[in-house]
Amino acid sequence: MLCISLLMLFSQTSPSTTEEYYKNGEYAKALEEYNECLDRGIQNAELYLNIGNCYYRMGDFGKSLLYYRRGWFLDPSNENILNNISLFKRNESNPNPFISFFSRIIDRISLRVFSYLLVLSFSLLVIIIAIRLIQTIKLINFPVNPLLILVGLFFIFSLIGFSIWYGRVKSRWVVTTATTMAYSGPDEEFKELMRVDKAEEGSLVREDSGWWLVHFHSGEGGWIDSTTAELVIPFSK
Amino acid sequence: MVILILFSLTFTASVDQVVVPVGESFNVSVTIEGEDLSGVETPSAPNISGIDILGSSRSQSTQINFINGKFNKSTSYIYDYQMIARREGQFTIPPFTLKYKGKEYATDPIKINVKKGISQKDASPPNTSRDFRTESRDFRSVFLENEVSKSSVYPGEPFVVTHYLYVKTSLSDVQLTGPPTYENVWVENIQSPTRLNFTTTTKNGIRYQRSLIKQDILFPLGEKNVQVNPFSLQVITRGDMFSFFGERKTVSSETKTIRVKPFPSDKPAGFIDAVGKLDISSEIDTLNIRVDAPFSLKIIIEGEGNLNLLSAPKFPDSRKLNLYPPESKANTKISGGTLKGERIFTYLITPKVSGIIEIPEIKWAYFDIQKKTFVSKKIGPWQIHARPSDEIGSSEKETNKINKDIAYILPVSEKTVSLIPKFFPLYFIPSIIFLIIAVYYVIDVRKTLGDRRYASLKAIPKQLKSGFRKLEKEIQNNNVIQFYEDMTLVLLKFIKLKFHLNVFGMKKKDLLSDLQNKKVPEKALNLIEEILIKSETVRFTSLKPTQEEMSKDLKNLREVINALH
Repeated sequence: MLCISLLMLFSQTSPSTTEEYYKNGEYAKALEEYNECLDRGIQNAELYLNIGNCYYRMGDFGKSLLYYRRGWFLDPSNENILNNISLFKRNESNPNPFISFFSRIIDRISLRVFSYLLVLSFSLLVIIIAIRLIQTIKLINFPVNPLLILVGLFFIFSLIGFSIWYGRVKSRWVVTTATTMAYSGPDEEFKELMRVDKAEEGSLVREDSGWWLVHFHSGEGGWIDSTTAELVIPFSK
Repeated sequence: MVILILFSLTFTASVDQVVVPVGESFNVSVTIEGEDLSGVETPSAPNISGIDILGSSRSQSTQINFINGKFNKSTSYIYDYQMIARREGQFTIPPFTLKYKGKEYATDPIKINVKKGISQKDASPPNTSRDFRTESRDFRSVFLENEVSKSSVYPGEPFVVTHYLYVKTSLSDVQLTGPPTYENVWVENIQSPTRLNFTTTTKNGIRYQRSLIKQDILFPLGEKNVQVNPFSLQVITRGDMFSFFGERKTVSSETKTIRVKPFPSDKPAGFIDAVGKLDISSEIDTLNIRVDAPFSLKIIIEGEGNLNLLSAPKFPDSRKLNLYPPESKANTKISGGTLKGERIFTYLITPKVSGIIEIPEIKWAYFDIQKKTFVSKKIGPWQIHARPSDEIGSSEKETNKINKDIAYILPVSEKTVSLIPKFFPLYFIPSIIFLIIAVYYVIDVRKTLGDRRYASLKAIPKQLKSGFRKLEKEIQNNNVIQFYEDMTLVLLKFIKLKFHLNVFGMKKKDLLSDLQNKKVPEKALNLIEEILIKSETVRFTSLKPTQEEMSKDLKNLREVINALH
């Protein structure tokens, strides 16, 4: 009876799920579980958010931001991801209110959604154009012109949004995962340009024997050891 | 001369002169000094060949000192042995011995020189009217001496210099003419008594009264040797039998040089100038701050060493932080010949940007004097959360937001979301095809409407299709006359649409002639003529072709149309 009671007690206190590992502060174990999900091919914003949270709790802020960004690419409207990224960097709003409003909308829609919007808007535009063409040879009572303007704007919006997000993917976005030094060339023998902290973001411009030329979002740049940074989207290589 | 110091007992012996005239008496003083001398016996005097002990006397003195809040009582027994040398030569007075509380004590042997033909006055301490510095050390009655705790040091390593006044005669006045000075050092004064406090001491076997003039602790600045410069006192001796009013004279100490050794070459990162036995720690006042608002980071270095001379630890550059020169505060005291306490450097920092900012770790090192090695330490890194300067809200609210976001995780589904839909470019193909069709359709319609010739050409296939279908049906029904009538009709309609000839009002001959003008091949013309003649023959005679013949004629019609279309 005592053995059974002890067994029940043990089974209750021992964490059986990843969430319990996390709640009990066993972040390394929770991280192992999440990494297994990644190995199984699962990929979604919530998974990346949780991995980012584990790294954050473990004090590895570089990796934390890296996974938040991966989640952000998949679901930029996820409030949790946005809040956690804002712990590292605030979005600087454009002084022009129209551009600021427009970019805020675009930043909330993912590349995947923009892909569908682009297909939809293109299809609608084609239909409207076809109707408009046919109207030149046959009499069709249909308000084509206002619709053509609306659908055209919708298509332009989708195209701009898609281009911005696709540009972000193609820019080979990197996050530094360790504090390092930026040099003027691809070796430590070159001149030291600046100190680069963890969780700095930039774009990978060129690679050379284990060194990356990175243009940081702050406007500065330099060659860093490739082991100190990771691509946000590795498949964009 | 001090022979042995064990616990609180001091057992020493000294002579009043080291050059003694033959046949003249001289005095050997043996002193037992300690806190508790109860039960101490009279020291055993040694046998000295050539020197006789004429007699001895004992005196006692007690001294009470109040040092560092404590009373110290010290008792001295002084045994004065009057001796006489009977012959000339170098003599060594062997050690006096003493047994006390089961232990044996002995003084150091003392060397004296017994000479003929010198008077007591010559042998006595030197004449004060002579230049003091030219006198032999053993004959000086007043002199200054600086004692240095170390002969060689590292840059920044503290050492103590103590300046003493030694006298063998009574002084009526002492005036400090110039304070002790040093070169290439930072100086901290330990003590500078305002009045002379003489104690009995033995130097080179001779008893003196000694008073501390000044005691300093010095820290070498850099790798240049340290020089202790001479300093002077003006003294007036009391009158004696040779000089009734006494003498005024100036005494000076000697110059001393302390070698400063360079540090070992393996200086670690973060070493600047810290020397001693030190530790480093830090305090940060807040981790949650607004952009451009200042916060402080204290770096505390504590222990013993050159605390007052320390340079501030070097702060790594950060593009996200404004760093102002640190304020420095020292809480130190001199104890045990070194400087102890803490030095606090307070850095004022302001974040330039918002977000989580890492203040990088600071590497720092000091040189351990005892181990003669460098010791590396580091503090940090620190993570601060910088909020935008224009954000309204308390830091408590911000903290709660952080806790909410990081504290909770979201349930993870098994779904896999790709960045872009698979085969994304293919999604556009239906629309593009549709557009192409629409454009083609519109262009075609426009062309049909605007070009009569094109419209008639376009009508050919439709006309032919229905015509051929009708002809085939008539072959099946064996409707001979109707078949040849319709065949003629199909052919003429085709020629009309194709060549825009008004065929129905023309004679056969004219038709063939026009077609020839239209460069219709000869073979096709022959077939057209053959079809028209065959049709007329069947329609206006009793000739009844079989179904096979009809099929053959239909085939000829197709051949002609194909050749012309």
